[in-house]
Amino acid sequence: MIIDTISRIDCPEGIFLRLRLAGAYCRASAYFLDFLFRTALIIGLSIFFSFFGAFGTGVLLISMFLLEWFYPVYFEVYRAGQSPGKKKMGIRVTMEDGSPIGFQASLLRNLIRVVDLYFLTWVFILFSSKMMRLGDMAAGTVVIYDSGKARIKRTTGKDAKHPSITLNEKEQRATVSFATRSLTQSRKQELAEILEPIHKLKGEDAVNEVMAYARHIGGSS
Amino acid sequence: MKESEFIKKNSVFWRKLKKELKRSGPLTCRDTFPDDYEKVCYQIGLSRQRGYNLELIDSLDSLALRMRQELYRKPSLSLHNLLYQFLVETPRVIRGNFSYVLAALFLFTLPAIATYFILLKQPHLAFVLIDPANIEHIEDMYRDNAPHLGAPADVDSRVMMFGYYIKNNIGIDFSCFAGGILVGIGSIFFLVFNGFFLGTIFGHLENQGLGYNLSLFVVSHAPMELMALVFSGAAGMKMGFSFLIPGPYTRLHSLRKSSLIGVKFLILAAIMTFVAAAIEAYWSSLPHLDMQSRVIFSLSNVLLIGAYVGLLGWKRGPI
Repeated sequence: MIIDTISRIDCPEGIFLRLRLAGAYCRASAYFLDFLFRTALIIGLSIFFSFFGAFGTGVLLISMFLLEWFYPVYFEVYRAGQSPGKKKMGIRVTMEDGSPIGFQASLLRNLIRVVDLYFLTWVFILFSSKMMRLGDMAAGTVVIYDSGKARIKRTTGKDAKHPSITLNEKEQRATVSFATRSLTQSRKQELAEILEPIHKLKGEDAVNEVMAYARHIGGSS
Repeated sequence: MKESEFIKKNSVFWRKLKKELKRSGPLTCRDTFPDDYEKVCYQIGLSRQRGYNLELIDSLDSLALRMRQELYRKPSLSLHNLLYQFLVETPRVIRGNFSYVLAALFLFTLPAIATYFILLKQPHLAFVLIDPANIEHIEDMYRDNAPHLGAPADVDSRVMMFGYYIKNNIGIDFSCFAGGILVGIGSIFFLVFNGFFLGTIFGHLENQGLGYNLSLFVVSHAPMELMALVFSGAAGMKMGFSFLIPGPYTRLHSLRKSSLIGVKFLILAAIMTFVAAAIEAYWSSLPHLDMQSRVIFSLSNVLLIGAYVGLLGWKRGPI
């Protein structure tokens, strides 16, 4: 089994989508940001409604109820799966197959958040294959990175070079992945030298050669 | 075909689609949109098979993803859809899962009744079950000269109580449902706990001679509020048990199926609790209403709920 944060969705149209799943740390940060935002909003509203006596308190209580339960639902359904915190962190909620989330699924995953907050959420995210918390499991949703895939720009100048053989998609991806990841110099050399039969180079030269291939290919890992 | 030729031939087509996707609005209304999507999908397969450049494949991939999201967008909530859900689907689903409703009802009422009678025999137990300070507060609320029964409440404080009931009671419904994800335990806990609490309060106030005042206040909104809690608990139990006993499905699939059913229950429960809050704030607190009219109102609510569950949604197909 390949352990990967990319969830591959095969579509009936004969294509597949690659969703990059977001992990516990990123999601916790997004939740924290949302929490701050929501708290600030509640404090603001409390001050505003304090001028309106008992009537204000009633309206405040209703808005607190709405903020508590429907704040994420609103953003997930009407702002393409992104609450402000998630937007800041560059992540969004979608259905497991990459389609936009609907009202019922959103309501479900956010109701179950109450349980998730008390009950080992992060353990579930760490151990489920698609990094789902309980609410995600019930609603069939995933949290994915918006974009931000490590990518390399395609160039046509001297620093780009066509490899002596044609690379298929998987090989191209491996090459780009090599170029975009931060590896130690010795590890880079070790990896680049695997292609010695193609480029007949060693050491630093091999690394530069493979980097040139990657620039010729472009795209994301 | 060479890669550069392929790009040259199609770039206008791709640019047009990208521009179109940036505009908001119902793209799928355009008749040829699905055909265009199919064409892009075909081109991706072609590019992959021919070993075209990765950057090209990536850009086509993201184009296809956005078109797919547009095509597979859930229909937005229309009034017709909402009415259909509320008047046909929900009653059907409740009848279909009536065993859970009955189970939840018993889990709530049996502890309540049991505690009530135990407290009549052993009055001092009230102070063991509920915090004494809390008891005093509750006693004060139902004394003969208590503000919301004896004296007329002003409009503003009614709005406040309305807000309080909404936040508190719908919150309890939601938690009661959500707790069910732990194989039903959370829902059962909420039902039983609330049953005990209610029974204790009724028993204790009866012992203090305030039972009539309490009944006078709660009888009107009790059916809506308590049945909403029962529905939430039933939905939570359904969700939890379907995970525990998945039948012919995988556990995850079974959980998903039943939790979507649960959401329908829950939306109904939220509406009922909302109505209950309105009754509690604007009707139950009316000082001059006598017991008889309150009981009639309450019974008509019971009938309303019964008719909703029992009579609606028998006809198949859309309304």
